[in-house]
Amino acid sequence: MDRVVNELPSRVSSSSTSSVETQAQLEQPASSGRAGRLWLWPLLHLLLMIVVVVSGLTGLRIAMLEYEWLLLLSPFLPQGNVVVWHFLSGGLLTLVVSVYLGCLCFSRQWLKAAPSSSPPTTRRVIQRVGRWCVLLSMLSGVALLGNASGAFVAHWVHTLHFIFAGAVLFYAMVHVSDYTLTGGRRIWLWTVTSAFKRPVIGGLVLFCFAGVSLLVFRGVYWSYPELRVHRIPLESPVRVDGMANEPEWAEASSVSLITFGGENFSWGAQSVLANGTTRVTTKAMHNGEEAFFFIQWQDPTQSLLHLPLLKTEKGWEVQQRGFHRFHEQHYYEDKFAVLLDERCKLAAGGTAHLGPQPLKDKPSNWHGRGYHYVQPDVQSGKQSDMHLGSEGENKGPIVDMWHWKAVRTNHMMLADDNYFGPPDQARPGARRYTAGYGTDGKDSGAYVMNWQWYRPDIIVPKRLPVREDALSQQQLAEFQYRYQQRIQGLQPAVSQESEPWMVNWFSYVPYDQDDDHYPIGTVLPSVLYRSNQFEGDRADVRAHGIWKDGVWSLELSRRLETGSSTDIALQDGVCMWVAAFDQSQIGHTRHATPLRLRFP
Amino acid sequence: MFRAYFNAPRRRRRAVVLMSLICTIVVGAILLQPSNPLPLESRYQKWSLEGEPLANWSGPWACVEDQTTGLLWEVKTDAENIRHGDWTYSWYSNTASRGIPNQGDCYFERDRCDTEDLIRRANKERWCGLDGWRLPSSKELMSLLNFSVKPGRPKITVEFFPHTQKANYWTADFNARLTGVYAQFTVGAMALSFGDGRQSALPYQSAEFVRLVNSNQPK
Repeated sequence: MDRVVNELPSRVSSSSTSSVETQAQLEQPASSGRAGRLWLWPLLHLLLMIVVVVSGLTGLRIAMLEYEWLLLLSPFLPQGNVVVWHFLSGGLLTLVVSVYLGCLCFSRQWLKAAPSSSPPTTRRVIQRVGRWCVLLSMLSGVALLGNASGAFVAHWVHTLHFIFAGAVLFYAMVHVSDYTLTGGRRIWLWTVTSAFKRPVIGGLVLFCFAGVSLLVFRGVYWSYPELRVHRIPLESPVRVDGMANEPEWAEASSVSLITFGGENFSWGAQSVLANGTTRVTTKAMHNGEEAFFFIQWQDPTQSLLHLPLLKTEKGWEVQQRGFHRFHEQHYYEDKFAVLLDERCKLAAGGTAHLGPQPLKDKPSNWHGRGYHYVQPDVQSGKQSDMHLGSEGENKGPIVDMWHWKAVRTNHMMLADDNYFGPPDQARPGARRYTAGYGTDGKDSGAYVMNWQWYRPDIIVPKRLPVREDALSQQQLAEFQYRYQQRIQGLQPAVSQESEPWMVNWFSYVPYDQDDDHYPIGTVLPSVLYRSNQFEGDRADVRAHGIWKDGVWSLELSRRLETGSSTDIALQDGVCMWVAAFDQSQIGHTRHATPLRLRFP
Repeated sequence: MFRAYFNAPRRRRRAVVLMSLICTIVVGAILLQPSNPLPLESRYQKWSLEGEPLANWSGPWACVEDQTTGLLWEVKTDAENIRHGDWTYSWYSNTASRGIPNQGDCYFERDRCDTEDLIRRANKERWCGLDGWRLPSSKELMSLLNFSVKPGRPKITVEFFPHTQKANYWTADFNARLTGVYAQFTVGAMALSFGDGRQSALPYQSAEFVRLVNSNQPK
């Protein structure tokens, strides 16, 4: 491509700095002998311009999930389902580069636009570097679709993709500035019009490019890795305990995914380049009634300190560094999410909509990262209410989400059964708009946070430990010890079953200022279990996880069909996404393509 | 090299245009940074237990004024105090000499609870700086119904009315004829369910939830 581009300045500027001469050259018809081939390289150049703009802008928006300093560019970047546009433009880029390389190999004459002349050395060097950056950003992007490599390699590829893509954008700016300074407005006109000197052929070729790009895009859909759901007899008992020690698990095949882009997942100085990345290994079984999943992922730290309360001179304070913006990355539990999507769309089942305000008529988010929601079908009804029936039940498409939380649900032996639906209406009393995210309905049971009303400075706890209760006091002492260990960066090495990260509602009594004699520096857990479990739809997913030697092992189980309007039936062809959270509220890892469940 | 490059006046002019464009983008990026979300207008106004108005995103609050009806509503808690949302009450009116006392469950009375107990305590403690607390009529309570809620939630604006149960709440309407399995009790009081938004007549001794209302507003 850049060979072609090299020749553009030779027509416009290299031969002369006189604008009169430049204009004369631009208007000069190509030599009749080569006229039939002159349409190709301007066309490729035009396509490359489009691809660089679309890929660059959408890529920057995606990169903001990891590089927060890029938020400075947020006002100029597209919002919404940018991941799909990134994939589409990536497909087109692959095609443009392939055609260019094919011409280079088989017939360089197709890339000639004008009598060749040598551009200045500096410009030639820059263009060569730019050409390689385009190629490498494309190759690293394609490599990100694969899941076979290790976490270290995956992170390298991921980082290199960002670097090369950034270099392409920088190159594009230099290139555009250089040529604009040299050729002015005419160079832009020439770039567009020369691609359509033969409009019929040009249009036909563009149509072919678009069609093949869509095929490449569709090819990604067909290439999803598959997870075989092993059939077991109905009478075989499976205990959901995170151990997976039933003999049937040994017969189930596993699939590994490299997930990247998460907060934390810090692997220390030796593997610092794998930070934010973790390998997730999944097995699945079913007995005709229920499905079972065994998922393991690497996590160097077991994070169970969830928004603790610290007694200060002013009062009780929630320990947080981002919770006020709903983006806590320090005092937060580990989590894991499974998404189930029967439409198998890219970008987390088509739910990932990036940017501070992807829905113009809805509130913006506090962290600038985006929302999860299913794009509503605008053919019927008002968008905001269309997923609600007259009884408040879900009537629209949803993506099912199982949200396991190491403190808030693990001791309930449950994952929080949630969903992503069409965007909710804005609700005046809610400080946080959650778009399509919702929890399934419940009849009773809950965990609650131990503050009467959240404030970033001082809160009033709902409850305090019973002073006369030896068990509560012992648990409190244990919690102080664990907190100090955590603050010092030490990893506790005791069984998590005995750890005091959450407390039973009835172990504490309602807060009374007159009874609050706890000394300054006392730390309280903030998660209160009001009951042993949820009851109702929200309790459909049984789950339990165990952390050992840098690996979380999680077992999940749910009926194949729950009958709930906010659940997806588990059946052949359903797609599954996974996301790991290391001590992070929303900064989860992600992967490019989902697993497709295959039931025998 | 650069001096030679920019020697041509036309290039100098274009360079100025380009630099201006870049500067505009940088300044624009700084000025157009997304702002934090702001609270939306609402028909409801929060009031503190002491009778102070609160902004939409502030709390804790004890009462909510419905600006469309002019009524002030009690807000439930999970603090195991008198306003705890899990307490239930039998329907009983001392002034009307109707109902059955002390058939509900709560912690704040020595005996079990009825609607008269809650009204007496609310007026004595002057919630939100007011007395005049009472049971709402069916029509008044129905004005709180909201069917545009998320799936599985109570049919009420839970952002302003937390700890609402998907169950029956007593109204002030009594002497309602009972039917079906309750026919043996002859008459009872009307209740409204925030689970499905339906009204039903229930025996006075039923242990149901209560949300009190006040026709006055805090000063």
